[in-house]
Amino acid sequence: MTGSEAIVPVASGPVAGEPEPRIHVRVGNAFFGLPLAAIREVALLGPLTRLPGRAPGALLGVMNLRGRVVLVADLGLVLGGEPAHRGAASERVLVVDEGRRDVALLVSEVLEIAHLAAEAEQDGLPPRSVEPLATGELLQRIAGFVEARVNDFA
Amino acid sequence: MRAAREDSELVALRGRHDSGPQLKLAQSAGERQVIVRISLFTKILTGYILLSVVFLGLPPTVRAMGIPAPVDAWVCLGLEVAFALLFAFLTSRILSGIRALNRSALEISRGDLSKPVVQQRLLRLGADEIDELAQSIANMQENLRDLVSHIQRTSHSVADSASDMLHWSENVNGSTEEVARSATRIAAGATDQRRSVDETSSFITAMASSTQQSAQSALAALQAANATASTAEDSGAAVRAAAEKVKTVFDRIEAASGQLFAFGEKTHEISKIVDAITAVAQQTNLLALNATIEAARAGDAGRGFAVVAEEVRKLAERAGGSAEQISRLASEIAGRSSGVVGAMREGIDDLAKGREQLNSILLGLEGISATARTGARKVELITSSAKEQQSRSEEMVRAIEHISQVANANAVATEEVSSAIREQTSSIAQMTSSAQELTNLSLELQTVVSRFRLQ
Repeated sequence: MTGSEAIVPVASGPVAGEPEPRIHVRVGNAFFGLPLAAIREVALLGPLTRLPGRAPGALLGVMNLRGRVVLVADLGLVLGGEPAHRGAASERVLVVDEGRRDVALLVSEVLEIAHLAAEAEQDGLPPRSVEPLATGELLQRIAGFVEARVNDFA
Repeated sequence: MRAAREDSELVALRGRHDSGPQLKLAQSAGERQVIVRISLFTKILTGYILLSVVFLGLPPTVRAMGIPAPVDAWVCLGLEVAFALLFAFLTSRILSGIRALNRSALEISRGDLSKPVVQQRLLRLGADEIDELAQSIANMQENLRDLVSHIQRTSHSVADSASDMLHWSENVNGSTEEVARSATRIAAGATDQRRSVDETSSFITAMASSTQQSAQSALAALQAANATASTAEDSGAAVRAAAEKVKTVFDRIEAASGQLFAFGEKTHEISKIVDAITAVAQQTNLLALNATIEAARAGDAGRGFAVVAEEVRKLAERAGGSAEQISRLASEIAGRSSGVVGAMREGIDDLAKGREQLNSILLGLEGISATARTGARKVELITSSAKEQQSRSEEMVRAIEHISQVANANAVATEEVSSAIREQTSSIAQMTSSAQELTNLSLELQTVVSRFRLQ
């Protein structure tokens, strides 16, 4: 816990002079910074149930999260890039609130909370080019995706 | 032999000549009963006396009968003439045998001995000289017949013998030529034999020397076989010791293998524990992350909590990293130990194979030893038989030399036989010409004798 006094407190919202807190994730070989406000929970990927009658695309299936049925989507495919799901042990799902449904975005790895990245750089880790995603944009994309997919599914 | 027989025959012939006439006389005497011998002279004298008595006594007798003169003179004359004629007639009758004898003698002189000598006479008054002459001529004819027939037989048999001899000598000549050819062949064969004997002698000498070499080689082989056998036995002992050591190593490796298996099980346990720690660390990390998120969403109120949560997350991360390291190490150890166990198993297998191979090597060495011993015994046999063979081949060389000498003697003898045969051939040629000559002579004799007719 040494040096914990020097850590800058995370801001809950967009504050002038202080960046919005983000959670940095790896999707395949790309890095993204997701707004922390949009994320409700980080969870382990449970057993997936494929949706019947559909070819596996970005929507991987549904999983049971503490008694709730959650749609699982591959963030890489949602963002139009390479898929995140390769069956690695480091894979996590970020649960976001999206209207009526809970949607879990599958990432390859959760790295850190963004305002602590400076500390990581101090640890000698190589700097990463992280693509920041705005909350609105992310939610919009997710909403659009979920809408289309779920409608298809329905 | 033949000459002696002929001599005896001649003697017998002569004896017959001597005894023949008397025998004939005796026989004729026997046939004609007794014939009184009255010589011719006596007969003629008696006739003259009788005639004279008649001439003197006739005139008185006529006068006495009373016949008148002049008639009595005519009667006397007539009676005297009649008596004279009777006397002449009787005389001619007595001498008639001489003419027949003359004819017989003529026939004999011509060579006809077949007709009997005629002894018939118109008047016989006792035996006289004519009878004796006829008897002599008959004897002569018979003797001549005997002689001629004997000569004919003899000449025939001489001709036969001569032609036999000719034939025989021709045969002998042929046989002699055959013998001469055989002798020539024998001489050539003897030369060949001598050459063969020389070759055989040199061959056997070479064989004897090679046999000696074989004996030496066999001796060397015997030593080598004995050395091989002892080496194989030594090697067998070494291999047995190696097998014992391998067994010890085997046992030790099996013990170590068991310990390693136990160790591998322990590393599995470590892995399980580490897995549990990893899971706990992961959960802790996740909880801390979620706590951080919650704190961030709580705004300023959650700021301190966010720091604590972050620290907790870091701790969990470090614990997870350490657990991961332990897990890696443990799995590494487990992998290595299982690798070691596998290697040990392979080693054990190899050792087992090695033991089997050692056993087979041991068996092979025992086999080599036994084979070498057997080979040594056989080589000893070979050595002794080679020595025996050597002495025998020396004997053979001596025998061959003897044979060579005999062959030389044979060649010389054959040469002698050849020259003897040549001499014999010339003798037989002479004999052949003699036989031819004899045949000619006997033929000549036959033609001479054939003038005589015997039947």
